[in-house]
Amino acid sequence: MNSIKFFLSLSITIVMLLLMDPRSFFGLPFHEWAGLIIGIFFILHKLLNWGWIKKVTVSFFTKSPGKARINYVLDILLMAGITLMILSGIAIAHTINFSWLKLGGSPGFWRVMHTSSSFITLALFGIHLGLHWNWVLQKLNFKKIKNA
Amino acid sequence: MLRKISFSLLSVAILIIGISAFNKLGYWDKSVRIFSFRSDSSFAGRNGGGQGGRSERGRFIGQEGRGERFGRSEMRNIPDSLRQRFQQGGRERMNQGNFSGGIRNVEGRGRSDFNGGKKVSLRNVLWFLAVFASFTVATLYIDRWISLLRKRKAVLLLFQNALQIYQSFFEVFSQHSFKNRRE
Repeated sequence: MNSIKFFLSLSITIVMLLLMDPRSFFGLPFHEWAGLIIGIFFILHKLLNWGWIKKVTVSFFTKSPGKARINYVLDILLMAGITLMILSGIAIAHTINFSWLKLGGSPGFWRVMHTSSSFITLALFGIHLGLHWNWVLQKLNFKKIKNA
Repeated sequence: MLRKISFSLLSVAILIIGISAFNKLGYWDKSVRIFSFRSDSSFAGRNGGGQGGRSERGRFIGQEGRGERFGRSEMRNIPDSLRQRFQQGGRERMNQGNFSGGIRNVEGRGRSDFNGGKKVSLRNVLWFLAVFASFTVATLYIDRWISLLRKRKAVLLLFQNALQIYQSFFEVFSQHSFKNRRE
Protein backbone atom coordinates (compact mmCIF):
# COMPACT_ATOMS: atom_id res chain seq x y z
CA MET A 1 0.00 0.00 0.00
CA ASN A 2 2.83 2.37 0.88
CA SER A 3 4.53 1.75 -2.47
CA ILE A 4 1.29 2.59 -4.27
CA LYS A 5 1.04 5.80 -2.26
CA PHE A 6 4.65 6.65 -3.08
CA PHE A 7 4.37 6.07 -6.83
CA LEU A 8 1.05 7.90 -6.95
CA SER A 9 2.59 10.91 -5.19
CA LEU A 10 5.61 10.77 -7.48
CA SER A 11 3.47 10.65 -10.61
CA ILE A 12 1.29 13.54 -9.35
CA THR A 13 4.45 15.62 -8.80
CA ILE A 14 5.92 14.83 -12.23
CA VAL A 15 2.63 15.41 -14.07
CA MET A 16 2.02 18.64 -12.14
CA LEU A 17 5.43 19.97 -13.19
CA LEU A 18 4.83 18.99 -16.82
CA LEU A 19 1.45 20.72 -16.73
CA MET A 20 2.93 24.02 -15.58
CA ASP A 21 3.92 24.88 -19.15
CA PRO A 22 1.07 23.93 -21.50
CA ARG A 23 3.27 23.84 -24.59
CA SER A 24 6.39 22.13 -23.38
CA PHE A 25 5.21 18.54 -23.33
CA PHE A 26 3.11 17.36 -26.30
CA GLY A 27 1.03 20.52 -26.36
CA LEU A 28 -2.44 21.43 -25.26
CA PRO A 29 -4.18 18.04 -25.72
CA PHE A 30 -1.77 16.44 -23.22
CA HIS A 31 -2.16 19.44 -20.91
CA GLU A 32 -5.94 19.15 -20.81
CA TRP A 33 -6.23 15.37 -20.54
CA ALA A 34 -3.42 15.09 -17.98
CA GLY A 35 -5.01 17.95 -16.03
CA LEU A 36 -8.19 15.91 -15.70
CA ILE A 37 -6.28 12.74 -14.84
CA ILE A 38 -4.28 14.51 -12.12
CA GLY A 39 -7.62 15.36 -10.49
CA ILE A 40 -8.47 11.66 -10.36
CA PHE A 41 -4.98 10.89 -8.99
CA PHE A 42 -5.50 13.53 -6.30
CA ILE A 43 -8.83 11.99 -5.23
CA LEU A 44 -7.13 8.56 -5.17
CA HIS A 45 -4.33 10.01 -3.03
CA LYS A 46 -6.90 11.33 -0.56
CA LEU A 47 -8.76 8.00 -0.51
CA LEU A 48 -5.53 6.11 0.24
CA ASN A 49 -4.92 8.44 3.19
CA TRP A 50 -8.54 8.44 4.31
CA GLY A 51 -7.65 6.95 7.72
CA TRP A 52 -5.41 9.90 8.57
CA ILE A 53 -7.98 12.43 7.31
CA LYS A 54 -10.70 10.83 9.44
CA LYS A 55 -8.48 10.71 12.51
CA VAL A 56 -7.37 14.36 12.28
CA THR A 57 -10.87 15.61 11.39
CA VAL A 58 -12.29 14.02 14.54
CA SER A 59 -9.51 15.25 16.82
CA PHE A 60 -8.55 18.52 15.10
CA PHE A 61 -9.56 20.79 18.00
CA THR A 62 -8.67 18.37 20.79
CA LYS A 63 -5.81 15.89 20.55
CA SER A 64 -4.10 16.42 17.20
CA PRO A 65 -0.46 17.53 17.32
CA GLY A 66 0.47 20.90 15.83
CA LYS A 67 2.16 19.44 12.75
CA ALA A 68 -0.88 17.32 11.91
CA ARG A 69 -3.04 20.44 12.08
CA ILE A 70 -0.69 22.36 9.77
CA ASN A 71 -0.73 19.43 7.34
CA TYR A 72 -4.52 19.29 7.50
CA VAL A 73 -4.95 23.00 6.75
CA LEU A 74 -2.38 22.72 3.95
CA ASP A 75 -4.30 19.77 2.49
CA ILE A 76 -7.53 21.77 2.51
CA LEU A 77 -5.77 24.63 0.68
CA LEU A 78 -4.31 22.13 -1.81
CA MET A 79 -7.74 20.66 -2.43
CA ALA A 80 -9.20 24.13 -2.99
CA GLY A 81 -6.33 25.00 -5.34
CA ILE A 82 -6.68 21.83 -7.40
CA THR A 83 -10.46 22.23 -7.60
CA LEU A 84 -10.09 25.81 -8.84
CA MET A 85 -7.35 24.77 -11.25
CA ILE A 86 -9.47 22.01 -12.80
CA LEU A 87 -12.63 24.12 -12.88
CA SER A 88 -10.88 27.05 -14.59
CA GLY A 89 -9.11 24.59 -16.91
CA ILE A 90 -12.48 23.17 -17.92
CA ALA A 91 -13.77 26.69 -18.58
CA ILE A 92 -10.91 27.55 -20.97
CA ALA A 93 -10.46 24.07 -22.50
CA HIS A 94 -9.86 24.00 -26.25
CA THR A 95 -9.38 20.36 -27.17
CA ILE A 96 -12.06 18.84 -24.92
CA ASN A 97 -15.59 20.12 -25.30
CA PHE A 98 -16.97 21.25 -21.96
CA SER A 99 -19.36 23.87 -23.37
CA TRP A 100 -22.29 21.81 -22.09
CA LEU A 101 -21.22 22.68 -18.52
CA LYS A 102 -22.02 26.37 -19.15
CA LEU A 103 -19.65 27.72 -16.51
CA GLY A 104 -20.00 31.34 -17.62
CA GLY A 105 -17.37 34.00 -16.99
CA SER A 106 -15.00 35.56 -19.46
CA PRO A 107 -12.01 33.60 -20.82
CA GLY A 108 -9.73 36.28 -19.38
CA PHE A 109 -11.14 35.78 -15.90
CA TRP A 110 -10.80 32.00 -16.07
CA ARG A 111 -7.31 32.25 -17.51
CA VAL A 112 -6.18 34.44 -14.59
CA MET A 113 -7.84 31.98 -12.18
CA HIS A 114 -6.13 29.04 -13.90
CA THR A 115 -2.65 30.60 -13.92
CA SER A 116 -2.78 31.96 -10.38
CA SER A 117 -4.30 28.85 -8.83
CA SER A 118 -1.76 26.61 -10.57
CA PHE A 119 1.16 28.77 -9.39
CA ILE A 120 -0.13 28.84 -5.80
CA THR A 121 -0.90 25.10 -5.87
CA LEU A 122 2.63 24.26 -7.08
CA ALA A 123 4.07 26.25 -4.16
CA LEU A 124 1.72 24.41 -1.78
CA PHE A 125 2.84 21.10 -3.34
CA GLY A 126 6.44 22.05 -2.54
CA ILE A 127 5.55 22.87 1.08
CA HIS A 128 3.56 19.61 1.36
CA LEU A 129 6.56 17.63 0.11
CA GLY A 130 8.87 19.45 2.52
CA LEU A 131 6.64 18.52 5.46
CA HIS A 132 6.56 14.87 4.34
CA TRP A 133 10.25 14.64 3.41
CA ASN A 134 11.04 12.12 6.15
CA TRP A 135 8.36 9.81 4.79
CA VAL A 136 9.88 10.12 1.29
CA LEU A 137 13.34 9.26 2.66
CA GLN A 138 11.87 6.23 4.42
CA LYS A 139 10.27 5.04 1.17
CA LEU A 140 13.55 5.47 -0.68
CA ASN A 141 15.32 3.50 2.09
CA PHE A 142 17.57 6.45 2.91
CA LYS A 143 16.28 6.65 6.45
CA LYS A 144 15.56 3.91 8.93
CA ILE A 145 12.15 3.86 10.58
CA LYS A 146 12.60 4.76 14.25
CA ASN A 147 9.87 2.52 15.62
CA ALA A 148 10.87 -0.56 13.62
CA MET B 1 30.17 15.95 8.69
CA LEU B 2 31.21 16.05 5.04
CA ARG B 3 27.81 14.69 4.10
CA LYS B 4 26.07 17.42 6.10
CA ILE B 5 28.17 20.15 4.49
CA SER B 6 27.54 18.81 0.99
CA PHE B 7 23.79 18.62 1.67
CA SER B 8 23.82 22.18 3.01
CA LEU B 9 25.66 23.42 -0.09
CA LEU B 10 23.20 21.57 -2.33
CA SER B 11 20.29 23.13 -0.44
CA VAL B 12 21.76 26.62 -0.79
CA ALA B 13 22.28 26.04 -4.54
CA ILE B 14 18.66 24.84 -4.91
CA LEU B 15 17.42 27.90 -3.02
CA ILE B 16 19.46 30.31 -5.15
CA ILE B 17 18.33 28.72 -8.43
CA GLY B 18 14.77 28.62 -7.10
CA ILE B 19 14.80 32.32 -6.22
CA SER B 20 16.16 33.27 -9.64
CA ALA B 21 13.51 31.04 -11.30
CA PHE B 22 10.88 32.66 -9.07
CA ASN B 23 11.88 36.08 -10.39
CA LYS B 24 12.27 34.90 -13.97
CA LEU B 25 8.80 33.36 -14.10
CA GLY B 26 7.21 36.37 -12.39
CA TYR B 27 5.87 33.88 -9.88
CA TRP B 28 4.66 36.34 -7.25
CA ASP B 29 2.80 38.61 -9.69
CA LYS B 30 1.05 35.69 -11.33
CA SER B 31 0.17 34.11 -8.01
CA VAL B 32 -1.42 37.19 -6.47
CA ARG B 33 -3.24 38.21 -9.66
CA ILE B 34 -6.11 36.00 -8.53
CA PHE B 35 -6.76 38.43 -5.66
CA SER B 36 -6.44 41.61 -7.71
CA PHE B 37 -8.56 40.63 -10.72
CA ARG B 38 -11.25 43.23 -11.37
CA SER B 39 -14.61 41.74 -10.51
CA ASP B 40 -16.59 44.23 -12.65
CA SER B 41 -15.29 42.78 -15.91
CA SER B 42 -14.82 39.25 -14.74
CA PHE B 43 -18.09 37.46 -15.28
CA ALA B 44 -19.67 39.44 -18.05
CA GLY B 45 -17.67 38.32 -21.05
CA ARG B 46 -19.34 35.16 -22.14
CA ASN B 47 -22.79 36.06 -20.95
CA GLY B 48 -22.61 39.45 -22.57
CA GLY B 49 -24.14 41.22 -19.59
CA GLY B 50 -23.22 44.82 -18.75
CA GLN B 51 -21.15 47.38 -20.54
CA GLY B 52 -17.84 45.95 -19.38
CA GLY B 53 -18.99 42.55 -20.46
CA ARG B 54 -19.83 43.67 -23.94
CA SER B 55 -16.49 45.33 -24.41
CA GLU B 56 -14.69 42.29 -23.03
CA ARG B 57 -16.64 40.01 -25.31
CA GLY B 58 -16.01 42.23 -28.27
CA ARG B 59 -12.33 42.22 -27.55
CA PHE B 60 -12.16 38.45 -27.45
CA ILE B 61 -14.25 37.92 -30.53
CA GLY B 62 -12.12 40.48 -32.31
CA GLN B 63 -8.99 38.56 -31.49
CA GLU B 64 -10.54 35.28 -32.50
CA GLY B 65 -11.65 36.81 -35.79
CA ARG B 66 -8.13 37.87 -36.56
CA GLY B 67 -6.93 34.38 -35.95
CA GLU B 68 -4.83 35.25 -32.89
CA ARG B 69 -4.80 32.93 -29.93
CA PHE B 70 -3.48 35.30 -27.31
CA GLY B 71 -4.41 38.91 -26.67
CA ARG B 72 -2.52 41.28 -24.42
CA SER B 73 -4.35 40.27 -21.26
CA GLU B 74 -3.68 36.60 -21.89
CA MET B 75 -0.06 37.27 -22.74
CA ARG B 76 0.33 38.69 -19.26
CA ASN B 77 -0.68 35.38 -17.73
CA ILE B 78 1.99 33.21 -19.30
CA PRO B 79 5.66 32.90 -18.29
CA ASP B 80 8.05 35.54 -19.64
CA SER B 81 10.05 33.05 -21.65
CA LEU B 82 6.90 31.74 -23.32
CA ARG B 83 5.75 35.27 -24.04
CA GLN B 84 9.05 36.02 -25.74
CA ARG B 85 8.72 32.84 -27.77
CA PHE B 86 5.24 33.84 -28.83
CA GLN B 87 6.27 37.34 -29.72
CA GLN B 88 9.24 36.16 -31.75
CA GLY B 89 7.62 33.23 -33.44
CA GLY B 90 4.30 34.96 -33.82
CA ARG B 91 1.72 33.73 -36.16
CA GLU B 92 4.02 31.72 -38.42
CA ARG B 93 4.74 29.26 -35.66
CA MET B 94 1.05 29.00 -34.83
CA ASN B 95 0.27 28.11 -38.40
CA GLN B 96 2.94 25.45 -38.69
CA GLY B 97 0.82 22.55 -37.67
CA ASN B 98 -2.61 21.59 -36.42
CA PHE B 99 -3.08 18.97 -33.82
CA SER B 100 -5.34 16.12 -34.67
CA GLY B 101 -7.82 16.65 -31.86
CA GLY B 102 -9.25 19.88 -33.21
CA ILE B 103 -10.54 22.85 -31.29
CA ARG B 104 -14.11 23.29 -30.24
CA ASN B 105 -16.29 26.03 -31.72
CA VAL B 106 -13.75 27.01 -34.31
CA GLU B 107 -15.49 26.39 -37.58
CA GLY B 108 -15.36 29.48 -39.74
CA ARG B 109 -13.75 31.62 -37.05
CA GLY B 110 -10.30 31.53 -38.47
CA ARG B 111 -8.54 30.36 -35.31
CA SER B 112 -8.29 26.65 -35.95
CA ASP B 113 -4.52 26.76 -36.16
CA PHE B 114 -2.68 25.83 -33.04
CA ASN B 115 0.80 24.61 -32.52
CA GLY B 116 0.22 21.03 -31.52
CA GLY B 117 3.46 21.00 -29.55
CA LYS B 118 4.64 17.64 -30.84
CA LYS B 119 8.15 18.53 -29.77
CA VAL B 120 9.20 18.24 -26.15
CA SER B 121 11.04 21.19 -24.66
CA LEU B 122 11.37 21.02 -20.92
CA ARG B 123 13.28 24.25 -20.32
CA ASN B 124 10.34 26.04 -18.68
CA VAL B 125 9.44 22.91 -16.73
CA LEU B 126 12.94 22.98 -15.24
CA TRP B 127 12.39 26.54 -13.98
CA PHE B 128 9.16 25.42 -12.34
CA LEU B 129 11.01 22.42 -10.89
CA ALA B 130 13.56 24.82 -9.39
CA VAL B 131 10.82 26.88 -7.72
CA PHE B 132 9.10 23.71 -6.49
CA ALA B 133 12.37 22.31 -5.10
CA SER B 134 13.21 25.59 -3.39
CA PHE B 135 9.83 25.61 -1.65
CA THR B 136 10.47 22.03 -0.52
CA VAL B 137 13.97 22.79 0.77
CA ALA B 138 12.85 25.98 2.55
CA THR B 139 9.98 24.12 4.26
CA LEU B 140 12.28 21.25 5.20
CA TYR B 141 14.79 23.53 6.92
CA ILE B 142 12.12 25.69 8.61
CA ASP B 143 10.47 22.52 9.93
CA ARG B 144 13.80 21.24 11.24
CA TRP B 145 14.64 24.55 12.90
CA ILE B 146 11.25 24.67 14.59
CA SER B 147 11.59 21.11 15.90
CA LEU B 148 15.14 21.88 17.06
CA LEU B 149 13.94 25.00 18.87
CA ARG B 150 11.17 22.98 20.49
CA LYS B 151 13.67 20.34 21.53
CA ARG B 152 15.96 23.01 23.00
CA LYS B 153 13.03 24.56 24.82
CA ALA B 154 12.06 21.13 26.12
CA VAL B 155 15.63 20.46 27.27
CA LEU B 156 15.77 23.89 28.92
CA LEU B 157 12.44 23.26 30.64
CA LEU B 158 13.66 19.84 31.77
CA PHE B 159 16.84 21.40 33.13
CA GLN B 160 14.86 24.10 34.98
CA ASN B 161 12.55 21.49 36.47
CA ALA B 162 15.51 19.37 37.54
CA LEU B 163 17.08 22.43 39.14
CA GLN B 164 13.87 23.24 41.01
CA ILE B 165 13.55 19.67 42.24
CA TYR B 166 17.20 19.73 43.34
CA GLN B 167 16.71 23.05 45.15
CA SER B 168 13.58 21.89 46.96
CA PHE B 169 15.28 18.61 47.84
CA PHE B 170 18.32 20.51 49.12
CA GLU B 171 16.11 22.80 51.23
CA VAL B 172 14.30 19.85 52.78
CA PHE B 173 17.57 18.06 53.39
CA SER B 174 19.23 21.14 54.99
CA GLN B 175 16.20 21.76 57.23
CA HIS B 176 16.25 18.12 58.29
CA SER B 177 19.99 18.19 59.06
CA PHE B 178 19.61 21.49 60.95
CA LYS B 179 16.83 19.92 63.06
CA ASN B 180 19.03 16.91 63.81
CA ARG B 181 21.93 19.11 64.80
CA ARG B 182 19.72 21.14 67.20
CA GLU B 183 18.43 18.00 68.80
